[in-house]
Amino acid sequence: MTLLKLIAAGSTALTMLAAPALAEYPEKPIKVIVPWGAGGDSDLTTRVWADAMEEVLGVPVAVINKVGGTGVVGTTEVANAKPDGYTLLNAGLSNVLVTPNFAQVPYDFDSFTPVVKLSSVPLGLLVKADSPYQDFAGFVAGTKEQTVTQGSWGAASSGTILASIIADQADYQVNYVHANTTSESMVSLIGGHIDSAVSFPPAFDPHLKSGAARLLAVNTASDAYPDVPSFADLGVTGDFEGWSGIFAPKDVPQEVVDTLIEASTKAMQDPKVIEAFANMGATVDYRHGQDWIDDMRQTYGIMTDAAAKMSN
Amino acid sequence: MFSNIFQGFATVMSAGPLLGIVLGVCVGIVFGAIPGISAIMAIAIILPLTFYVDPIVGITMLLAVYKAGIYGGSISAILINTPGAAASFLTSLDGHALARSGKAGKALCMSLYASVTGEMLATLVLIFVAAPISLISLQAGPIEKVWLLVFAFTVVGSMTGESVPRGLLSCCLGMMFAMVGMSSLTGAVRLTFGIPDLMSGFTFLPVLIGVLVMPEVIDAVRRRKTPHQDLVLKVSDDPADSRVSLREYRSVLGTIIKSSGIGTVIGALPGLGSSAAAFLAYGEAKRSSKNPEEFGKGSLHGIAAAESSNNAVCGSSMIPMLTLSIPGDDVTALLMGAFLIHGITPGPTIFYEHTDVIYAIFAGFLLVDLFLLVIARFGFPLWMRVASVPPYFIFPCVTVFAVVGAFTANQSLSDVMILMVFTLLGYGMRLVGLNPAAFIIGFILMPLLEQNLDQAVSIVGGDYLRMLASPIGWIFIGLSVLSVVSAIRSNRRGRRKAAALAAAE
Amino acid sequence: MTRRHLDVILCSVLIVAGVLILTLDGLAQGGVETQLGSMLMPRVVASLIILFSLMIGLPSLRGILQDRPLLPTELIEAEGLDGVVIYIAIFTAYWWALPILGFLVATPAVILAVAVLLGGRSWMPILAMSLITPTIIFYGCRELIRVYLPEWSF
Repeated sequence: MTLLKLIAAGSTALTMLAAPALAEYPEKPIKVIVPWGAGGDSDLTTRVWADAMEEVLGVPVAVINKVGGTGVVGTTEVANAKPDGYTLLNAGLSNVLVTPNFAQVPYDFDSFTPVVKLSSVPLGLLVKADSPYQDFAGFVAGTKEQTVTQGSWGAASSGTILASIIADQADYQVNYVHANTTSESMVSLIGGHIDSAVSFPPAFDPHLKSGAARLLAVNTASDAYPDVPSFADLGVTGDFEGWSGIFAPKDVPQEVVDTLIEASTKAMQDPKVIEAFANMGATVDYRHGQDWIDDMRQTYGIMTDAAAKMSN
Repeated sequence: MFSNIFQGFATVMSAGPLLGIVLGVCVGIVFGAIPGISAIMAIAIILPLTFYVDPIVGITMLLAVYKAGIYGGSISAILINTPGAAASFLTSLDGHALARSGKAGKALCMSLYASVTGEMLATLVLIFVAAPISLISLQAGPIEKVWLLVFAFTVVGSMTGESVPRGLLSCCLGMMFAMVGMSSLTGAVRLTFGIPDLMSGFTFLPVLIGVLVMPEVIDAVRRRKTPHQDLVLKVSDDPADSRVSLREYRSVLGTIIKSSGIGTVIGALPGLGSSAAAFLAYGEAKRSSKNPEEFGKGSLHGIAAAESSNNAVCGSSMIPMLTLSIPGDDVTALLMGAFLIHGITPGPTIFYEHTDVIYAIFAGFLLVDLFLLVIARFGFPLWMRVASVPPYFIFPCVTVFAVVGAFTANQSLSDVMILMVFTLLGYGMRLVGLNPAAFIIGFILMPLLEQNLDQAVSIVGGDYLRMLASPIGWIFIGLSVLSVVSAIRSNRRGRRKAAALAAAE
Repeated sequence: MTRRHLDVILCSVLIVAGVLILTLDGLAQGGVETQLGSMLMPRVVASLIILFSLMIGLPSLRGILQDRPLLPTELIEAEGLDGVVIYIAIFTAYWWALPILGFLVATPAVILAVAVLLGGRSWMPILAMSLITPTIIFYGCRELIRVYLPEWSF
């Protein structure tokens, strides 16, 4: 937290130095494009963030849902928007890291200037509570004996891609069943229509709590899921988390990015925001700066390799 | 159980929640009634504001907007034949026909009473039998949903209007247009013929407004030389034509209960939505009616079926959301967000962990119905006056609302272009006797069918006989057969009747 | 022009479109293979469209060839279609002018034009409506539902 404050103080100083150039930003409403439907995980985190930003910045921060083409439509629009800081994107694993590698889209990672990362959710592998697979090893053994179905969302979605990277490393094969959303795929799981599923905590937590589903492995072992091994524990390397953040089009002035980071830092310390995030099952994972961008670039590289492997 | 509910009523009966409900109902009716601007936008905007209020106030208010919004769509559907919300497109068939014959008041009353009854019934189901009903949502997997959708498509045959092939062709055209753009399943860009703007496919709202609302405006343009007094809605002097008598209400009660049942089941199945429910209930009411030829020409049963079922969905779509934390559509997803933000995680344990809040919210749901009934009833004279101004006041405004509505969906001007293209298409369909309602149903159901079929095929692997192994699936297969048979039979009966008429002449 | 001619033209167009969808490659680009594939459902629907088009087009064609008397549903009145052309022209101009003139300038003109087209001659109320409605919509959308309608760009 002190680090955050330091950064905030630093960027405030920067802002003051650059005052003449950005006395004007923001002077009109800022649009944040969410390339998913209203009510989804990243839509909700973005709405909470936007609401807090509005207070800090003093201009309306409007969340606009531009749904279509598994996130490509809204993302493309921001990639092509004027880089003035008035059009921002709710970026996530799927639309800026996965899709550009697995589908022909008119943008890539370099079409954007990353601003901040807001939250992250770990990917988990689940089975129904009465499933014969007690643990990950049992599950892998089961896939060798018979066809096992695994729920995910969209064949070119982050869920399927991450799941197949895991499957590739742990050396098993499953039949993917592509639901529309991850919560739909959880319904198919606890309804007994599919054998396993990959999903994120906002969708699977309620079913774990009610005892209808069993978590076999998760990206990061944590107190929230005692006795559940992480993928790394099981010998699967890589980062399997979904995240939600804010990107601007590339070539947006550095002062604008700084103003946004400064305001976000303030917004993300708002107890109401912290509480809302916690209630939604999204872990606040607030990051910005070069380290974070380098990490993302590395993941982007992993995705590019995976895409090359999958097309063979 | 009962003590919980009384406790709930006690909690809700205070200034905050009541104010929230009144405000929500008013906002919902207005947003629902304006063609092109839907209540979901109001919900999405209000959602962050509910952080700052008590969950009971916030959630009942959002629900009030939702329910009143679905009802509000029927007002403009009846008075100016332009459905304000997608789910009321069938209400306009019979409702506007009644309004044309001077019985606008009767149509408005019928739609209000049916809406409120449907909602009440579904809410009672939600309160008392949520847990068993939620089993339906679990039992119906992709395979069962494929058969349900097949059943829905067979209903198109009985709803076709002029001729069966024309109705089915309209439906297929809707299905084809729904597949343009990037597939959410495979990520492939389909049928865009190289036009980049089509990559996102045709946005639903402009298509809906273009096909269902705008042809009415064009019709008004064509009839512009007709003296205005012939076009203005006349209101019959007989007070019996402006209300629904108890006897009339009792005569449609059977239809209302059956349609509410259909709505409740469809609502409990995540992802199908209120338009599909209205469609199935209307089809069933027409199929089982003694006078199916009255449907579309001002049948009270038609209004009752469409409105009670689409409003029943509001109540019952809460069942999978609350008990299984599965949001069925975009509105329930937003509502679930509201619950989560307040720290109430929907799921099987919600009734034990948050008993007070949940039952207060249930009590709020019932109060919403009551307030909707009263507030909407007081609005009738106002709506009637709005509808009786000359068309050259109404239709310029409808034009602008349609454009604004198309624009709001994605805040993009290419959607206004889509609106124009589908306006021409929709009017063209009217000219050649194709059926706009069947078109919209095809457009709505196609993505659901493709998605569920894809999942079903993955689940069964190569063993396609497993598609036939589900008992619930067989129920829908049976219903499909029944629906096809009765469509053929009623078609034959209709032809015989026409032949008899011709012979008499 | 009767409905029968229209039917035949429409159905021929649809049949050609259906055949194109069935035969052309490259209608689906990119994407990942799934069990169902990207083009299966479009092809199924295209086949159905061809089938139903034949069911509608053939009787109409037979009607034209045998010169049977027209049924009342088969007549199309052309009265008032000129107004429709004007309306579409207004609409197109509106679409074109929105990003340039902005909503607040373009909309009053459109309301006025459509009202006059519909035969409205009570100038004062129409003028008032064409000024008040867009203002309410513009600011209402901005403040209440956060929709920013186009403003003029000069």
